[in-house]
Amino acid sequence: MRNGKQCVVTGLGAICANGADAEVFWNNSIQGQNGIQLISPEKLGRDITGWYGEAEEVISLAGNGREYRRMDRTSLLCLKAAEEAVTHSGADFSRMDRQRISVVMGSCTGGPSSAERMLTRLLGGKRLSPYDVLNIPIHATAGHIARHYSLSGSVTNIANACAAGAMSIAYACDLIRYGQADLVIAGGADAFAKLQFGGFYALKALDASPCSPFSRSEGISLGEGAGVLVIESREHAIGRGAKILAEVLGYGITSDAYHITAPRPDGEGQIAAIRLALEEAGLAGAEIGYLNAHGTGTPLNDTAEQKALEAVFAPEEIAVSSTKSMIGHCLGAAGALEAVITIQALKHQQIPPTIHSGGNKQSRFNFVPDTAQPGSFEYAMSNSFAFGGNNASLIFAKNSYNNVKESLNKQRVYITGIGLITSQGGDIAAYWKNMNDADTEEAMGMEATGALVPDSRLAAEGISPAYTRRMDRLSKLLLFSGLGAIRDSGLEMDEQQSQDTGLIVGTSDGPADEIRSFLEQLLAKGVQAGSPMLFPNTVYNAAAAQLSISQRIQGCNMTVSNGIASGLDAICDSFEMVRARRHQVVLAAGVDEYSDTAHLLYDTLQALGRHGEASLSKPYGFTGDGFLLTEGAATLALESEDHAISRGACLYAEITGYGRSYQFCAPGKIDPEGTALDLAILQAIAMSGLCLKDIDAVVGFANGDSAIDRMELRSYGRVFGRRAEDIPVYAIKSRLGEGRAGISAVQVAHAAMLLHSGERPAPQRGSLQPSGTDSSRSSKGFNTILVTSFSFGGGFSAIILEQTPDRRGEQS
Amino acid sequence: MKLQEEVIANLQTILVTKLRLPMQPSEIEPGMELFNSGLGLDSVDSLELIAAIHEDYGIELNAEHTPFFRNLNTLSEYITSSLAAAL
Repeated sequence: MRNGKQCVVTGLGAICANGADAEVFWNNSIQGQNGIQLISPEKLGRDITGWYGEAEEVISLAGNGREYRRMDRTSLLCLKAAEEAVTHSGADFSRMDRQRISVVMGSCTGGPSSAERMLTRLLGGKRLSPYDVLNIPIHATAGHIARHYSLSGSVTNIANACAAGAMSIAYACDLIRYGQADLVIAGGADAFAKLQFGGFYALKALDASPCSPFSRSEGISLGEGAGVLVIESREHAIGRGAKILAEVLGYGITSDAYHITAPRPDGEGQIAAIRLALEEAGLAGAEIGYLNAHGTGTPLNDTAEQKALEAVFAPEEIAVSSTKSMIGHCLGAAGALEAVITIQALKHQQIPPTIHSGGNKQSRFNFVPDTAQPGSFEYAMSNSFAFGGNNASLIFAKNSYNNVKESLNKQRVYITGIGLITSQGGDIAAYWKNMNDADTEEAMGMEATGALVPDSRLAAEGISPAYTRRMDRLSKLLLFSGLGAIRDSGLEMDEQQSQDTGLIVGTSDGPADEIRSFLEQLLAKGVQAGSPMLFPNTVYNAAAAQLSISQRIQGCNMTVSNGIASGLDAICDSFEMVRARRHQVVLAAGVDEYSDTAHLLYDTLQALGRHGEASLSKPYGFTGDGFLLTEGAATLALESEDHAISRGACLYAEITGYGRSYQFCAPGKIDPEGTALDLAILQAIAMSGLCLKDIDAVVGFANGDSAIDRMELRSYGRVFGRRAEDIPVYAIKSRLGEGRAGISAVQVAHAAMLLHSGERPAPQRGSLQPSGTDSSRSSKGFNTILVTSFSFGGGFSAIILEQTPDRRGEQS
Repeated sequence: MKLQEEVIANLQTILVTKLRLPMQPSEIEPGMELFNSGLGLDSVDSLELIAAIHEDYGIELNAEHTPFFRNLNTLSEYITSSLAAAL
């Protein structure tokens, strides 16, 4: 469902090479100031010159809390911009329902300097700090903001590299339009890192001088920074007397499904994203007066992007400029920083220039060379096109009082296909048999950790080894499960279906091993010694890109990284996307790999069992003090009712509701009460229109760590009261281990299989007797299953699946 | 010719170890096209190959040398003559 709410911007925050706040950033940019300077030599640690858009060295924050000393620079930049935006908005959170305030942040690399520091210590044989570990993943950033403001709505980290900042803004608007939030703090951040510099260096993508987009076009210049917007519903803003800066009219997100680094040369993916944005905004191309381009300066981008512009806009009716010419390419922050500039442009009715121009006069477009131009425009667009072909287009309006938003009725959403790969097999039938085999005290063998997909297995699925040779482990796990889901669903991926199929992937730790390998190369031999082939695999959204390229999935493509619950969250996001009719089909997945690096990270957090042998403690047995780290992936095909029924699809189950809540928890620790889980469950119940007594069973997240398991049960005790003792609770991690986002997605698949099979296998807890009988539901199996997950840091998620007894379905 | 044979053998090894081509080094025919329909390498592969050649031979290759990347014969010939010219 998309409600009729308008999304308006009430606060801006920015920090980058052209200024430590949004006003200075605007003033310097409108004057065409160049923020790209020679990089400080000690940053590269080598005799290499490079150009870079550095933000101020010391970031001055409002408080001077001790916790700042432990935060990675990426999070500090983000917090600086967030503080400015929130102050600017005048929002007083103490007078708002904090459960209705969400945080969405995008980042390319998370906390890479923490990763570098940790690796350097490791190589030097020194003790590792858990704080460095906690700062590494992308999901640290948004959590810091949520904690800073004591917020308890959903916390999401978008990991789509160069488009992450823009996609965060789109995601924030969806939260408001799906009725999930009243106010969202959204943006992106990325700080300098040898990893990114070395990576783009290896790809020979760096310009030898400050970049010259749409002109000399000889490469990019990198930059760092953070951009943050406060976005709220128009009625919420007006209700509290906030000043409205602009409206976010619409967005479009597509996927090239073409190549891991190069954009589609014909610009078709970009054109599609632009057209979707225009359609949602209800505008024609001619109404856009200013377009803030992706404009990186590489010959490939500039050519493809101009092709896309030519297809949609008339050159004489639009001004186009690239902010990257002044501040560099700020990766995860780019989309957000550029949104700030675009909104400022609307406010001041001035168009910032593209600097370092002075060559290319072949294009008919007005790229606003070197000097700002006055303008008179009501609508502006900002585009971001990322590695792996993720295209995001945003449209902003100067005024919000005469825009009407269409309200759409909800679609029902069914799970029509499942693919998975776990330590208990990658074949659904084998998985189901293994999981339900009576097994009591057997210790798990070493095989339990791995679920590696050999290339030969993928080859048998039609993926050539020449293709898989470039893929990392995480990507192979995801690809295998994605292939399985498509095959199981019976979907034909022809051109039309391919454009109407989206993909949302959740991962907790991303390609940790690839990141480590690449960093090791840089630390050992210098910043210029990174492998060009390895670098593209170090971005969290590489796995999703590989799946989309292989299966030609051209719809919305998003990677979220919220910790362990990421897989479940991706399924919730996909459910909303289908329900809101953005796509008829969305593949929703969770994936996480097992590797020495992942093991090292969790071990440093002292999260792993200290009892020595690689065995699983019985969940709810309360003897374990840690969990077994494993890997896995599951992809679920989510489909709209219309689409599924019209093609006679087999339905596993229906998704009817979900909830997400956040309660900041000290690093590496668990809140023993887990009250935020109660909230997530209650939200899910409310959304699905059910009562608590309707829940027949739970597929939970217990993993053998007694603190975690206890917390889960306490929550059920409060929520279900006396009935809690009787509800069957399935803890699949007892067989599968803690496979993080992969397993949180498998949990949902498992619930779907339970409903579809009509079976009631022995649960890890609770009784088997059916609770209450309703004669209208005469099947033996369960009718309604709740699935729950949690993430370190304090995120809790819940989703509800219901049986589909009246629909066509066959035992798979 | 012996040097060129050595270079070919080294390039075959690079293609298998660094570029992870799914075959034995000896199976890569020196006359096989590297890009397009032959071995199907792409732009990222070429960068990896260029980096490896720079590391092993100290020779810097770029887009201008595209004709020499036709197959291992042409590539090894260019490398061999560059090494000879450097002496």
